[in-house]
Amino acid sequence: MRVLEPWVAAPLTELLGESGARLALIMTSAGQVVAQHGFTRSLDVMSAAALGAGILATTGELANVVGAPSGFGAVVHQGGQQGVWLAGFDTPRGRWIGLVVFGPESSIGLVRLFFARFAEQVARAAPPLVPVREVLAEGFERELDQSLRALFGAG
Amino acid sequence: MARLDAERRELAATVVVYGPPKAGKTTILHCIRDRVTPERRGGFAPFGSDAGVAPLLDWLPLDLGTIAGWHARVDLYAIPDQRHADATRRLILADADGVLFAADSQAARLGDNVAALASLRDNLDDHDGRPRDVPVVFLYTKADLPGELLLGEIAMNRSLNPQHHPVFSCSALRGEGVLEALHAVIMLLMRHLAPVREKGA
Repeated sequence: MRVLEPWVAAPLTELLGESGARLALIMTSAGQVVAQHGFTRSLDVMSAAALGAGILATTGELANVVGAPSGFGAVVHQGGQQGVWLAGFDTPRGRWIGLVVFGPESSIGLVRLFFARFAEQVARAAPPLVPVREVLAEGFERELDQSLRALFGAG
Repeated sequence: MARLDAERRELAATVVVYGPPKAGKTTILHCIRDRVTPERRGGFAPFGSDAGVAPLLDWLPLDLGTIAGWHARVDLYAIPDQRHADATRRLILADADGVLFAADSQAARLGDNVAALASLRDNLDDHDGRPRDVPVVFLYTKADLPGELLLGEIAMNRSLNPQHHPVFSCSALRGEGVLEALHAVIMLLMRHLAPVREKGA
């Protein structure tokens, strides 16, 4: 598992453990990856994130066209060996998307159940965002320059 | 966009390496990875690859350490040339805090550089489609090729960089100029966070 936001790790671990999912990808609605489990190549992650965000955006527009402005909630593809669950959920950091791949050892119902719990846990776990202007210290630029010189061997 | 977690005192920003196909974008990431100590490659694990095939390096997280009490990280992305490239390019650029534009110094590639720069401008907008002012640093790549194949920096600037963004000539294969350019773009993007200046830094 790889997480860019550490507070997502515990809810995602529970989702994977309880639902028996094989792969999971959590991303922003723009397709920026927040966490992933089970993917072995970063290009696959980026492609899946882009495609997942695109599918959900397209489905949302389709919902508008057919007169379901509240959307479809989730998109499910059930294949012979694997199924895909794709759904958006609200967090204090904006709307995120979850893509969960599951096999015959799991089911749509299990994934749906624990995905809903995951979304609630993420919403509760998100630390508050603090505007940049209130927190960066005066010496930040100088220390950054020194750190980069050390990191890149110029200092 | 830069992400700040005040509770954990963490700061994360995104730098995108952009440019025409075959300009050396992934070579630049390899160059940076090879020259940064392993413990600073935050969370990076080598990708698997088929025998004899070099793994494609398109994402490199860098741990900058603790700066003024903040744990700072930069995610470097090389925009892929193919495979869902349009959607991926747009999505990655929507979150870019800084851009390293890798322009191929060969005279024969000038047209490709111009086209890639136009594509960058087209794609560099926010999630609502508004143009974003993102710091850009130019890397003129392949400076180690024979001089008769190359355009000089003045000629490159005339075509690509009339705004006088910072420019570095580089040979990513030899590792010259790349870290200097990365240093510059990280400084610019952090400076671009206006509050740092407002507080008199």
